[in-house]
Amino acid sequence: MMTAVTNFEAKPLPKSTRALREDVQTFLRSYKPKLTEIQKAKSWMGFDREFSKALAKKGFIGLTVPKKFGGQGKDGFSRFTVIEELLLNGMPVGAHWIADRQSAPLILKYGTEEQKSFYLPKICSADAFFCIGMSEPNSGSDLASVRTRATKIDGGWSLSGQKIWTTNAHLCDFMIILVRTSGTAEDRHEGLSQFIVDLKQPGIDIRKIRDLTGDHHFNEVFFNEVFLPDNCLVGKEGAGWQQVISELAFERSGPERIYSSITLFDAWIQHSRDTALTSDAPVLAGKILTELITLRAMSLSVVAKIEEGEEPVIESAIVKDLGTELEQMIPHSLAENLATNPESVVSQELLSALAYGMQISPTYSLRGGTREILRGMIARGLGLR
Amino acid sequence: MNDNKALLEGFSDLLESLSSHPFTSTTDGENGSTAWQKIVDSGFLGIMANENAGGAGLAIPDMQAFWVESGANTPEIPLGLSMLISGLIEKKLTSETKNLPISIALRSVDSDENTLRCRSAAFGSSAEYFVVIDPLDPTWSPRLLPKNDADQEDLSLPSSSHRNLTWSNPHSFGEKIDLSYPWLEAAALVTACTMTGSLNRILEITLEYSKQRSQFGKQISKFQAIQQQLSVMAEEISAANAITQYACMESLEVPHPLLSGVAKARTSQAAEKSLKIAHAVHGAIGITEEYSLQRFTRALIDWKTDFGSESFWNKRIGKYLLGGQTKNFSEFITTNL
Repeated sequence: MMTAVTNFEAKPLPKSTRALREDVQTFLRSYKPKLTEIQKAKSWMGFDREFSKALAKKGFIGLTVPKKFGGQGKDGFSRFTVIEELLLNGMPVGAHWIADRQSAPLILKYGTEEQKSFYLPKICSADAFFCIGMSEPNSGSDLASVRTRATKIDGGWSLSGQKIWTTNAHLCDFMIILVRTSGTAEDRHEGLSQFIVDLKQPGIDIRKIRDLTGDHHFNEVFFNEVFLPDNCLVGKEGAGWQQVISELAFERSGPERIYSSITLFDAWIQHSRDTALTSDAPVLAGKILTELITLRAMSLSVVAKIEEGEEPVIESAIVKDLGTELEQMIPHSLAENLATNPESVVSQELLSALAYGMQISPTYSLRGGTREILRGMIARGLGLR
Repeated sequence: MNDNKALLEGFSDLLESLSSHPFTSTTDGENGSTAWQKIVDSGFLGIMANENAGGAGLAIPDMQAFWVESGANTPEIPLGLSMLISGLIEKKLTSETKNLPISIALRSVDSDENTLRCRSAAFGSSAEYFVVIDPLDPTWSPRLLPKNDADQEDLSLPSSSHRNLTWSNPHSFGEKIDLSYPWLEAAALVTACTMTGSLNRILEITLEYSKQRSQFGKQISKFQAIQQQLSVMAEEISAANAITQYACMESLEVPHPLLSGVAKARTSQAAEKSLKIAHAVHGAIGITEEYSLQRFTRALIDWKTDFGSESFWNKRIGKYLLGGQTKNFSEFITTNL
């Protein structure tokens, strides 16, 4: 029998998630102040401590974390529903985003009981925000070549080296860092480990890097003989590579890889309805909608696989590559549509948001694994490497 | 679904046996005539018909895999459409017509009361009967018509399965089909699934070829440029598999009014990208008549525009969204999905 090379078995959202979606919608209606289109377009790049706290109070953070660790003990479909609704409304979810998406699942999977009891309740109550320490100046796509090193000393580890492109390091409480604990960069996947670093420790210097839109979210982080107690090691010493791969599956598969430009799309739909509808608008609206519906179905299928205990690494890579292509296409094609039809006046707010979207959109296919790296992974899945 | 597993395996075995050699078309010469007879004898044509009429009573959600399988094996014949039509109008079909390949054709706008024209009719070369529908006027009753009564034009390109058909005598317009049914959505959904099957097949053929062919002293599959292209193809084809499955699953009694078009639009897009890559990886050998790739890529090219092209459906879906029934994408999801 002919079988497809990948398996995206259709799994719609269970009907039981409807009430939860309504809860989120009700909560969001009470949110003040009104976000501008640019603020919405920043979405999971937006950092709002108070908003994250308010979400946590409603139980919208740590949905899949067991109740005994302060979470809601719900399934992946519930989490999908909540984050989908937050993203569709362009809410500033960046503060808790990394902790909720990948740090909590990582600690839950590999952490000790002590670590779970300490960190997970803080993540769920939005009292601990996390960033990711993976990239280094000479280790980007080639992540296994990291040189930052933790050396065993009495009672713990001494951490020295440098990380870069660390989103929101200047605002976060903790970093989960991938470092070398034995061997050299030539040993590749062997000898890497993950630690939780308290960013208030002495010996840490965080310097900002502004992006091309003038925003500060990137940082360089320098570590100079930072003392890490033994209980900061996550999982097994030397097993960091395998753990990071599993963490990246969480990082790549979510709806934030589809929806980065969704609020621009909604604003453009509103504009197109309010002004005389141009003849080319329906085809473009339909093209974007077709992609969105397809990618949403694919993303839900990945959620179902993770629920069933699988690690859909190739499927996640496919969703991310197709999803970020759509996220990049949206602002450019909407701006193209508006500029093709100068007879209708476009609000300054929509124009600025589109300009932001176009300028920042190259990052969509860089963050979380570049397009070319993902395609290499897919090629491996096809048996070509 | 599990109940259908054995049925699906039987169907698949049958189809694979029809092309004893993968390079043989299922309509060519002796192979062609016996192929259709074997399908008739198998009883699979009635798979969607009621169980009390001897069918298996399968509904659209069960059928995706069968339509995909027919696209992966028999792109030349309207097997998927025949199964759909047999299920829908079994009572209209006589003992003769129910065993013939039936396709769906679209009434052209230049038809009038004396002339019924269908341009670029899908499976015009291999179907014997057509359910003619009007894609723009749903109040026009569909007709079941024999190809033999029509003037046929082959677009001066025998390798295309499309034919222009003209029925010029009003008496030959045949019997009306009094069935209120979204025929165009159904034809689009079946075609999207069939296309997905052909896409799965061309990916298989292309992956295989890339591992056999050596240039510059190594398999071409080892070149990064080729790997990246094949990954793109696999992504597109994954999207086609996912959306057709999703659209069929959400089509309970009738084809889903929005998702059927979404499936056709997305699959047509996947087809264009994928068939270009498949041919690029093959080079000249892929263009030759005796190599199997072209059986599927030619069909995909025809199907891309059959029953509404990518932009036809995108325009419809876009009009729905811009029409204001739903305020934004969030509302669209809660209302429609």
